[in-house]
Amino acid sequence: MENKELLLAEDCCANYNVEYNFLEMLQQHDLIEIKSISKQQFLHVDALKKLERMLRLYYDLNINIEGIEAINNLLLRIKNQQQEIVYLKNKLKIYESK
Amino acid sequence: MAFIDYYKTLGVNKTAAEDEIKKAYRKLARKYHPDLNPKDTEANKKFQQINEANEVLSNAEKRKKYDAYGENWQHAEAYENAKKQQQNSSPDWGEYTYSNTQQEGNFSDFFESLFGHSSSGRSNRTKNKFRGNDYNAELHLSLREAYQTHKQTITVNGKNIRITIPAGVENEQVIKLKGYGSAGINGGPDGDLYITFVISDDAKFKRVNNDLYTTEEIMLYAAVLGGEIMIETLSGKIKLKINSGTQNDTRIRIKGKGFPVYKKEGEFGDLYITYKVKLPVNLTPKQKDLFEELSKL
Repeated sequence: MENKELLLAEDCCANYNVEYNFLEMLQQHDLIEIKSISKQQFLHVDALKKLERMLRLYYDLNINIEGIEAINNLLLRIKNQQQEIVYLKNKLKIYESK
Repeated sequence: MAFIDYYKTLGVNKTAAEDEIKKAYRKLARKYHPDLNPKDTEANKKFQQINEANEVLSNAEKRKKYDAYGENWQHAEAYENAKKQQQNSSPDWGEYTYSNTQQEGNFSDFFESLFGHSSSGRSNRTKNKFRGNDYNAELHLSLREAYQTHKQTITVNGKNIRITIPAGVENEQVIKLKGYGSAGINGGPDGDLYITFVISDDAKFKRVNNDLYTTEEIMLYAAVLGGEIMIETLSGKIKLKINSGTQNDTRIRIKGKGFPVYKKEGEFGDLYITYKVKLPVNLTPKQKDLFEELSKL
C-alpha cells in the first residue's frame, strides 16, 4: 500500500494485540472509520490516538463500548466548550482594556 | 522522601483481597484517568498516585515487600541485597496497570527506592509496536507577528524545528506537527507535536476573530466641519474622510483592513475605528472669543 496515511487494520490488531472484531465493534458505533480498499481494511493514521484511548478505556478501565461512546461525546462537548471559552476570553479582552 | 500509604491511596484496608484492590483501582481510575480529564493536571497527578499504588498492591511480590517493610522502607535495600545473594527471581508484572507510555518514569521517589526504576506493568496488549508520545509546546507571538505568514525556528526537546506560521493564527490556537513527537516504540509511528500559540495584546489594536478594533482621536474642528485624517492599519497608513458632524464614539468599519483569515489567502476581516473627539485646550483669547460668539448664535 503506497498511502502512508493508511495502516493495515490487520497490522494494527497485531500491534495492539486485539481481535479485528473489536475494530468492527468500534466502527458499528461510529467510533472509528475502517476503509476498505481492494478487499483490505485500513485505518487512517490519525485514528490511532483515538483508538489507543479507546483501548485503554475498554481494557484498562473495563468500560464497555456504549460507555466509550458516551465518553467520546462528552469529551467532544468539553473540547467545544473549551474552544468557546477561548473565543469568549479573546472577545472579553476588548472590554477589559477599555 | 516520605512514606506513601498505598492502601490509603486506593481506599482499601490492609487485608484487602486482590479483587477488592482491582475494583478500588478501577473505580478511582475511572474518575481520574487522563483520558477522561483532558488538560487537568490535578487529576493527572492523582491518577499517577493511584497507578503507583496499584502497581504495588496488585503485584503479589511487590505487595509482600511493601507490607514487610511498611514505614521502615529505608532498610529495604540492604535486606534485598542480602536476599539476592540467596535467590534470583524475576518480577511478575501485574495485569491491570494503566499502559500509556506517558506514565512511565512518573513513579515517586519512594516507589523507586523500594522497587527500583519502574519499567511499568504494561500488559501484553501493548508490548509490540507503540506510537510515540505527543509533545506540547507554547509559542509566543505579538499580534503583528501573527498578522504575517512567517517562519520561525523552535527548539523542542533539544531538536530545532523550522516551522511556517500562517498569517491569522488565533490566540490559544493549537496546531499539530505530525511525527515531531517522540519516536515510536519498536518501529511504531512517531508521536506528534502540538504547538499552542499565545498571542500578546497590542497597544493599538484589539482583535476579535478576524476583525480589528482601534480608537482614533480627531480634532473638534474635523468632527464639526469634516476633513481628512491619516490612520495606521496593520498593512500601512490609509487616508480617511471624516464626515462633518461626526459625533464622539462614532464607529466606522473599513472593509478588508482587519486580520488575515487563517489559511485563506487574500481574505481579511474588517477594521473598526471608534472616533474620539479631542477638544482643544489652552485656547488663545481670540479662540475663546470665537467660541463665545459661536455659542451665542
